[in-house]
Amino acid sequence: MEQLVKKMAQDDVWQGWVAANSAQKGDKDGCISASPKSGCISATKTGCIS
Amino acid sequence: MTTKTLVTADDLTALLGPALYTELVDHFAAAGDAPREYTERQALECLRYLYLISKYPEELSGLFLPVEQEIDEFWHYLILQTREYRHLCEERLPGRFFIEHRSIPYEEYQREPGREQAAEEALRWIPLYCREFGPFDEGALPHWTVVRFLHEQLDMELREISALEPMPKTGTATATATGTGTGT
Repeated sequence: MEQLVKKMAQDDVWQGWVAANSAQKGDKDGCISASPKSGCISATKTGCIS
Repeated sequence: MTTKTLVTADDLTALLGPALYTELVDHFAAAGDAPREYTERQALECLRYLYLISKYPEELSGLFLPVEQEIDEFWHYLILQTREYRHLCEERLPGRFFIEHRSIPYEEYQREPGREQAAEEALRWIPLYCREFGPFDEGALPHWTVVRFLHEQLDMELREISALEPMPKTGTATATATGTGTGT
C-alpha cells in the first residue's frame, strides 16, 4: 500500500488520478443543469410529503 | 479459526427496505438507458458506500467520494427522502448516526491534504470494502473510481487490488462525508 501511495503521488500518475476525479466534476456540471428536468420536476409531479 | 460473514446484497437491500429500494432503482432505471441490472448494481454500490462510512467513521468520514458521480446521485435521491434516509442512517446502518453530505470539487479537496495523503485516502476504501463485501469484481469497476483507475491506468489485476492491506492508522478523521456537486 505504501509503495502504491508513492506511485500515485508521482507527477504523471497523479495528473491522471486528478483527471479521473475531475471528470466526475464535469459530469456533475451536466447534472446540475439537467436536475430541474429529471429531479425536481418529477418530484413535484410525484408530490412531496413531510 | 473464525470466518467473517460478508455483508450481502440482500442484507443491504433489507437495510433500505424493499419498497424504497424498488423506488430507488425504478427512478434511475426510468431516467436512463442502462439495463436494469446495471442500475441495481449502482444502487448496491451506493448502499455499500454508505455502509462503509457508517461502520468505519474514523477511517472514512470526510474523505472524497470514492465512487462515480452517478452513484452520488443515488445518494442524493435517498437524502431527499428525509424520513427514510434518517431512519436508514440512525436505525439500520451499523454506525447508527446521520451521514452528512457536503459538495466539493476534487481539485479543491486534494489541495488540503496533499498528494500522498489524498492518494492514501482514496486507497483506504479498498481493504475495508473487501473486508465487508468480498473482493472487487468486474461489475464494481464502473462505479468505484479508484479501483477502475488502478485496474485500467496502473494495470493492476482485481485480485491484486483486493489484496491491498490497509496503511497503519494515522488518526485523521473529520465529521462530514464528502461528495461532489450541489445536486441535493
